Parts: sequence; structure tokens; C-alpha cells
Amino acid sequence: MTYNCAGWTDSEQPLVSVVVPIYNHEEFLYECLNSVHSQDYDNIELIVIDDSSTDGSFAFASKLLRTPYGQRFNRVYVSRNAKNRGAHATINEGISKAKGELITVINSDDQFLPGRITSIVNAMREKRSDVGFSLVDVVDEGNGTFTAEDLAPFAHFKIRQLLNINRDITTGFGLLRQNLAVSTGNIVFSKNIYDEIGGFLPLKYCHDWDFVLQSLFYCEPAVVLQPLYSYRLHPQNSFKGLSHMAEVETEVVMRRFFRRVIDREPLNSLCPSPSKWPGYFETFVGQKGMSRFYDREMGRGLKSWRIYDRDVA
Amino acid sequence: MTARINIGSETSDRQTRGAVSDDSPCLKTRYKYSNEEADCAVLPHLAIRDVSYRAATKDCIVRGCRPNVSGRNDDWGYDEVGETRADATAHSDAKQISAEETQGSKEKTSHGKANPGARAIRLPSSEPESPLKNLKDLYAAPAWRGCIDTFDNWDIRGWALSTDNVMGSVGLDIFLCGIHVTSTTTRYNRPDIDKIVGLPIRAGFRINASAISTEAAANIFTQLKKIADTPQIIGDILTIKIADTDIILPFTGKLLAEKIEVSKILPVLDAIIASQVRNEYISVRDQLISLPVPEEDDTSEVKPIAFYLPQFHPFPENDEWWGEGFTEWTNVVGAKPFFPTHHQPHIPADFGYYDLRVEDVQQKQIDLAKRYGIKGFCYYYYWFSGKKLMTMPIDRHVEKNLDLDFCLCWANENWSRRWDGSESDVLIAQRHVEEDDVEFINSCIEYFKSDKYITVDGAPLLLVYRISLLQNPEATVARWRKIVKSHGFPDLHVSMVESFGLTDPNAYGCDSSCQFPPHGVVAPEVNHKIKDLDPAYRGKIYDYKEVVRSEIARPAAEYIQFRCAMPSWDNTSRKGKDGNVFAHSSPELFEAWMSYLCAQARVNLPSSSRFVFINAWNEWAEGAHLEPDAKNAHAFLNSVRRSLSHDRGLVASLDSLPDDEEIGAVTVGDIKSLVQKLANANQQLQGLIRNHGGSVADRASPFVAVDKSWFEVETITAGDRVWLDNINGRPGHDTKIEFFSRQQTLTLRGWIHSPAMLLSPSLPVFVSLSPTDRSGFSYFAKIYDRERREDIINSLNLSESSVWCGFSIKAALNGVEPGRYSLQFLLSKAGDIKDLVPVPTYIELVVS
Repeated sequence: MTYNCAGWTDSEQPLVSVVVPIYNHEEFLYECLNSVHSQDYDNIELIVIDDSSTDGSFAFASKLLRTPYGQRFNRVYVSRNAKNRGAHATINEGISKAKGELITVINSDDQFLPGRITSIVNAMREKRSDVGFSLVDVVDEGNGTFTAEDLAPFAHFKIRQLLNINRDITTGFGLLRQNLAVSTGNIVFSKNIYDEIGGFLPLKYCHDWDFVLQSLFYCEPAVVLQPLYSYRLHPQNSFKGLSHMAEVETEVVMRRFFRRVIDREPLNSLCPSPSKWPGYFETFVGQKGMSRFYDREMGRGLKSWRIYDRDVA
Repeated sequence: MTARINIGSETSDRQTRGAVSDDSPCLKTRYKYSNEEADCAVLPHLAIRDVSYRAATKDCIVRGCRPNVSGRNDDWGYDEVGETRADATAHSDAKQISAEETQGSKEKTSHGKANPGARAIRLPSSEPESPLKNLKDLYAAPAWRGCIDTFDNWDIRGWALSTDNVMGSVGLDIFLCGIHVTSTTTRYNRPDIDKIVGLPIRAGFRINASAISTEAAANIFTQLKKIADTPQIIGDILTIKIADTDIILPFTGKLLAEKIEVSKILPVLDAIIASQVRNEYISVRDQLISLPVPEEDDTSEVKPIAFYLPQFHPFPENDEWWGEGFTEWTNVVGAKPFFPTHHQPHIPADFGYYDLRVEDVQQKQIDLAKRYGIKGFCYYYYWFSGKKLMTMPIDRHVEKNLDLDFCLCWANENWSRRWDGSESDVLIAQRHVEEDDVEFINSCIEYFKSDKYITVDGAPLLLVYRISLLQNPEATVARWRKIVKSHGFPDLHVSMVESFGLTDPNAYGCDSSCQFPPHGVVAPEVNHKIKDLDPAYRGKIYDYKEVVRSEIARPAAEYIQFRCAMPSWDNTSRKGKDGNVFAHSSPELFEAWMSYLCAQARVNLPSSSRFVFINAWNEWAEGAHLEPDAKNAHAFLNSVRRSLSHDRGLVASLDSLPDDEEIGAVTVGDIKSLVQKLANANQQLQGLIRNHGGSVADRASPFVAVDKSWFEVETITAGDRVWLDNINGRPGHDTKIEFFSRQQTLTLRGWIHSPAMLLSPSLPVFVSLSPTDRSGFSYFAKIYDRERREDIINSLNLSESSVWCGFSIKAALNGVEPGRYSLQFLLSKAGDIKDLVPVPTYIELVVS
């Protein structure tokens, strides 16, 4: 398999597949679909996969898209999972149906802001990149149901995101520090790089983070420093639950990334890695408190291990 | 028999309950529910939600309520019998379920029969009887009494009894969201019930969240999460059935009236699931981490191949010659050092003293080898005139199609007691007659056919350890080619191992040769330089450094030669004081050697056969192993990986060019010295960083222009102010104006005085630079370091909400347009994601 970076740029206006995984968001679905409908980018196909919603989401989407409204799109594909399979499986399923050279996902309760696809595709073209994302606008529709603690992570979201993106020496290092791309819906990527990476991992929280980190191996992402994705905070997503998975998932994401960039020299010459940033990379990893993951992937073992002599471990 | 239960109506008895409060003041505090609303209020008709009851064919009505003084509600479950405190008041206050005899039920079951459970009962027309009387009159229908009276964050309590035998415990099945969670029995004291019935019957039951298995918790969690946004009635979540019946216990009126906030009860389930995840952490993690990553194979890259000894498991011949259970480990463990720096014994680390009969070991070896860039194993193939030994790992590799390429090296010498192929003390011999050689190649065909077998342009790569032992090597090889071709291969690639002084493969009809250090290496014996060498030692000690030096200096061969390096070598574990040692080996020297060989392979070998061999993956008894040991861990493997890196290749290719060769306007020598300088500088800088012991601060984060439309600023609260303990190291309290160049970094440390604000570290605080003469944007930098300042809140008598008022920040000004700015801080407001509250510093910054 030979990876051809930004091969999609050969097309004048590549087909963009917008994958909409739906789960019980009937009340938000029209706004979501309409935000794609009203994008100024022409060449869009819409892939709607209903993950066995218990509300009328599926009926709504299929009926609406059967009306002339659906003709705005180059192609429309709507299907429904027989049973609930979870976000990553639904997204992977949707992407397998996609015919576009570029792919983007939108959560069925979120919205694209005007000009999103055009701006990001242009930025990716300019940077010859296979991955792009933008700032995210967070809209609080909790009507007071959220506690101050719930809301704190979302306060001044796009400003923080902007500053965080500028904080590190490259976007890649910023992504290693935290998931600057924020959400699966906020990433535009080529089908080519998606195939290289092998899809989204079956993780509950961090599959998008894993995806962008893995993509760093191939290319540096293009970032549009304007809010072009609207993330809706509503009571349905108030209790995330299963937060204990976050710790496992963080370790998985970090170690997979380390393994990737240690075992092979990244194709992206800016990729945070021991080979592209000798010295600096280790220092950064140390500052971030991730040395124990890095050391394990480097085959150095942990301080507590007894299989190596003390001066080795 | 199935039944549907309706909760009958019940009248409250406020007067009686009032008496409890008035007459027994002590109970008011002790009885948790003494102030609650009427428990026996009219209960709504309750449709049972559980699907399993939908098919109800009988109406079963249990009218009930919780006794509203349930006796020390917090601890009744643990009451000692002797401690039962029910008194007259409780008695008079107690209520109980009552059930009316079904009118017109077709299936009546009378009391006192063996199976009283399946009573079908129906709501009485009117005139509910006193529940007290009903509990007293145990002869009245139905056969069961009981009630659920507590549901407090999964703490479920209630009571039940059978009228047939009030002293007998009642079995109960607990369902949550229709999922059977556990079974229990009544066994706790209920003084209130005891008092009414007049017997110590222990009618109470109690279940808490610990009864929920992790699997059930996950299911319930999923179910509840779907309905978490609206308050639910208890009946939709909890069902308790009397065992072996379809009788469902009713709830108290209070429980029924309360709506349950599902999101508040989810965390307990979450914690149950979490405990399992913690227990499963390692396996969950490993499963996810080891998900396959696509490999992009560059076929023209250098492919390191490691010799692999398929011993390390007992087999009958070795048992016979060396004793039951003999393996190479038997020698390895017994090794002793003969001088102070002699690294013996070698103690295997990651795989331990493994046994290759365990399939997992081989898989793990392959996983490890691949991670470090090794592209293949070269298995020694022990074939003696039709007799195969130790082929089990090779056969498994083919059978399981293990995910690594491999090839064979025919170990075609006698197997002697001395491990050196000599003629003395032969254990199993080679004959090398023509028929044998034909039979040998036929035995290889099944391996060649594996799609993991290494080929050179389609021709299987076969190494022969001592080609000179064949009777007529040239003819044999020609015969082999014919046979291999007859099996559909384009050819056979025979590589002669350069052992025992063999050098020219063409002389033997071979396609190539393969080096095999320490055979053929040049190095001086250094026994005399070794300090404190054991006088009994009779072997030879060579300097590994010299080996590396001479191997790098070795001129390119005039035939196709696969180069080979060894990480270290020492066979004293087999031969004791007669063994030879290559002293001073190290991962660094090995890396230098490997790097050179890789570079040579790129230059000298065609892309289809850029092999570099390594002796060996696991020759533990010869001290030659990439497999991790306790001393070197993965260091030698890391050397392999690094030697394959692009940079290494670049430097090595550069090294192979003469200094005076010109590249454009510069010479190779210039580039070499530049690379060397950069490498030196980088090494020094890394040393500096390490010497700081990790105390190197983050790089300064830059000020970034933020559009005014992105935030809303409230008005300044009088009295709020940021106090700067220092600005770029100078005291800042009296500063009014500061001058900076854009090349500078603004370093601030201080504290925020804004008593009305919650200064939680989870709420972001920005430093902003607002142009004094323009508007439309400000520069923002985020404060990443917040500090607790007990000293401030104590001395100013501020509340705990201000304790995180301390901060420090390093912000770069390189993105800031020259100009005059007011420096202020912007705080986020708890519970709001848009507004910013400004706090002034009363300092102006002039950036030039």
C-alpha cells in the first residue's frame, strides 16, 4: 500500500461525503441536515445511517430526503441498523458506503456553520493535507439544566481552542496534548487516509482523538481558525456516563500513537515523533506526564518491573 | 400462573400518625419517615410495566402500603432480636398491605395450602378495610402480605410474609428494568410488623447496589440512559416478585408518588461498571492497543533477518543424550563469569526461560521482532538423512501462517556432543549421498510453498550452513534447482553460509553467500588485557570493538554477499572454561555495525534481496541473542530499529563517500562536518534538558488575536483587581506602564482579587491585551498555571471560592502588533459559557 498524500487535490471539486450517524435526535435532525443542505459547496453526497433510533428520526430523514429537498445532493444514501451498534461502528458503516474522495461526519444533533466545507477543503488543499478541522462553537441549549461544573469545560470554547492550537510548536504537538479537533463531526478527511488508518477504533470517547493522532503519521492537519462547527449542548447529552473508560482509552490512544511513530518513521516530516523531533519529543512527552506510556512502547520497561536489572529499567 | 397486580386504594390515617410525632418525640428523630406524607394515600392504579407481565391472564390485586413507622428506618435491617423497639405507638401507627379476596376469581386458592403463592385476587369494589386489621387477620385473603417501602439510590427495602407461615422466610426475585438482578429472602427484623402480628417474624428484606452484577449493571445502565432525561416512576424501574409466583410487591404511596431522577441514580451503576473496567483494565487496554495497524511495506527497504534456533523445548533425542528435559536453558542457567566484567549468566527477561511447545511464545517472539523492524526469521533446519529434529516451530509457523516471513538454513553438519559439527562423538550424522540431498530438497518444498517463505524474485531463499560437506555441491545445487522449478518456482536461491573459511559461493554453484560472525571475523585475542581473569579459564577472549571496526572496514565482496552482524557472542555457557568470549560488546557498537551493513545493503544489493542477517535471534547458549535479557532489555532490538532509520541510512551513505567528492558547490566533507556539528549540538542540548531534571518550563504560549464578536464582556466590578507580584521578575504592584519588544516574553505571576467570583481552576482565565486606541479585537493568552493561595484568602478574609486566585503565565508577544495596550484579566462565570468578567490590572503595556 503506498500512501499518496493529498491525492484528492487532483480533483477540481472533489466529492465530499457527509456521513450522518443518527441516534434519537429527531428534534435536532432537520437543523442538522439543513446545515449540510445550505452549504455553499456543491459536490456533496449525504450518507445517513440510523443506529436503530427509538424515535422517528429514521422516518423523518428518509421522508425528507425523498422530497425534492434531497436533490440538492449529488447522491443520498439512507439506511438503518437493525440494532443499536454504537457510534464508531455506525460511522465506519457510513464511510464504507461513501463514494467521496473526502469524508466528513456530522453528529445528528450538531450543525455545520455556513461555508464550512468550502473553507476547510480550501485550507486542506493549500496545505496539501488529508485532514482538516476548524474551531467549534458550543451552544448551550440546556435551559438551565446544566450545573456550573457541567458547563465549565465548554466555557469560551472556541477561544480556548484557538489558544490551545497556538500553544504548541505545531498543531501535531497540540493534538498530542489534547484533542484539539474536539469531535468526530469536526474532522474532514480523505478516504485515502481513512483507509490507511484503518477506520475509527471501537472506543467510546476517544475514537476521534485516536483518528487525528494516527493521521499525524501521514500528514500535518489543516486548521481553519474560525468556528465552523456548532456543537449543541442539550439535556440529552448531559450525563455521559461510563467516564471510567476515559482512563483506559487515553492510555490506548497515547500508546497506539507512540507505537506508531516509534516503530516507523512518520511520513509527515512535522509529526511529533522521536525521529522527527529528536530530544524535543521526549521532553514534551515527559512534561505531559506520558513518559510511562512512551517508555513502555520504547521497550524500556517500568521502574517497578523486576525482569530487567535495576540500572536498565 | 400469571397475574397482574393493581394497587388498591387506601386511606391515610393522619390522626394515628400524628400521634406518633406527638407522643413519642424521640421517634421523630429516630424514625426517618415520621414526617412524611401519608403513606396510605389513595394509590393510583398501577399498570405493571414489565413486559413479562403483559400477558397477564389473571387480575391479582394487592392493596398495600408501607407501615409509616417502620422502626429505626436506617438500621432496622441490622436490629438484634433483643433490640426490637417497636412499642405501642409504632403498633398503633403501623399499616400494612391488605389484600382483598378476589370477587369472582376463577382460580381461588385458599390459605393454608401447600402452594398459596398463586392467588388471584381482585380489587374490592369499595370500602377498604383497615390495613391493620388485615394484617391482624391473617386468615383473610390473600396469602401474601408485603410492600416495598424504600428506594434510595439503589438501597431497596421492604417486607413480605406468607400468611401460611409467618415465621418462614419469603423468597423474592428482584428485577431492575426487567432484568433479573438477584434473589433474596426476608430475614431482617421489622419491629413494626412483628408488633402487629405479635411474633418475631423477621419480615424485612433489603437489597443494595452491591447485589447488581457488573453485567446487569451495564444492561440496566443502557436501559436507564435512554430514559434519563425525564423523571421516572418507580414501577418502571423496580419490580419485586415473590419467588415461584407472579405476585408483585406493591410500593408505598410515597414511593409511587415520588418521581425518580434517573440521572441521579446512574452514577452508582457507573461505579459498578467502573470497578469491573478497573479489574479488566489490562486486558481491555491490550486488546485495543494491539488492534492491527496497517503496514506500509517498502519492498526496496533493507530487510533484517535473524537466525532462529528452534531448540528450547525438550524432545526424545535430547532427553536421551543429555538427560530428561534437557534444553539450551540447561546450559544457559549454569554459566559463570570468568572475569569481573564478564556478562554471565544471561537471564532472559520478557519471555523468561520459555518452552517453544507453548505456541504463544512463538507468536510473542514474532510480535516483538516485527515491532523492531525485523522482517524475517531464518530457522535452522535440522534434517539428517530423512530424520527431522526440532522442526515443530517451523511446522507451526507454516500451519498457523504466523505473520512473519521466514526462510531455512540447513544445519547440514553432524550433531556432535561438542556443538561444533566435529567428527568426534557424533550424536546424529549427515550422510550427504545423492539420494539424501534429493530427499532433503523435497522435504523443503512444503515450507517453500508457504506464502511467508522469503524469496528472491520468486526463488525461495535457502541457506546451507556447510556447503563444503556436500559430496558434489555444484551438482547438488543444480539438481535442487531442477526439483524446485518442477514445483512451479522460477528458481531456487541458494546462499552459502560463510562458515569454516568458506568464501566464494560461485565455486559451489550457489547464488550468494551469507556472512556468519564470529566465523570469518578478524579480531585480536585480548586475554592478557583482561583484569582478574580466572586462571582456570582456557578459552580465548576477543575484543568486540575490533570486530566491529574490521567488519566496517571489510571491502565489498565480488559476489552477492549478505552481510551479517552479531549483537554479542560468548559460548562459555556451553563450554565453561573452554568457551570463547567477545568482550566489550554493546548495543551502541552493534548499532554502528548494523547501520553500516544496512547502508552497504542499499548500495550493493538489488532491491529484491536487501537482506542483512543477524546472528542471532535466540542463540542464548552462544550469548548471541536479540531477545531481551535482564541486562540489556530491548537495547539490541532498538539498535536494529535505529540502524534501519532513514537518518542512519543517510549518514551511513554519506560516510561511504570520499570527503572531497563534490555535491553542487559543497563537498561531502563539508556536509559531514555540518551534520556532525548539528548532532553534537543536539546531544549537548538534550543533556542540558536532562540535567534540569524535568524542570524545563513549557514554551511560552503566544498572545492570539480574538475577534470581539466571540465574547461578551460584562462591566468591571468596583474593587476587583489583579495584583501582579511580579512582571518579568520585577515587582509589579506599583507599575503603571511597561515597555516590551515583540521578541520578549511576558511573564506574570500574581493573584486575582474578585471576591464575588468563583475562581475554580476548571473555569478558564484569560490575560488580554486591548488596544487603547482601537477596538474590534483583543489579544488573548490563556492561563494554564493556577495556584492555590491560602495566604491571600486568610489575610484578606476571603471565602474559599477565591482560593484559586493565584496564577502564573508566560506569554509570547511575537504575534502582537506594536502599540499601546491595557492589560486586563478576563474571568469566566460559573454556569455561563459566553460572558467574560474583566478584572483590571491598571497597567498599560507598550509593545514595540
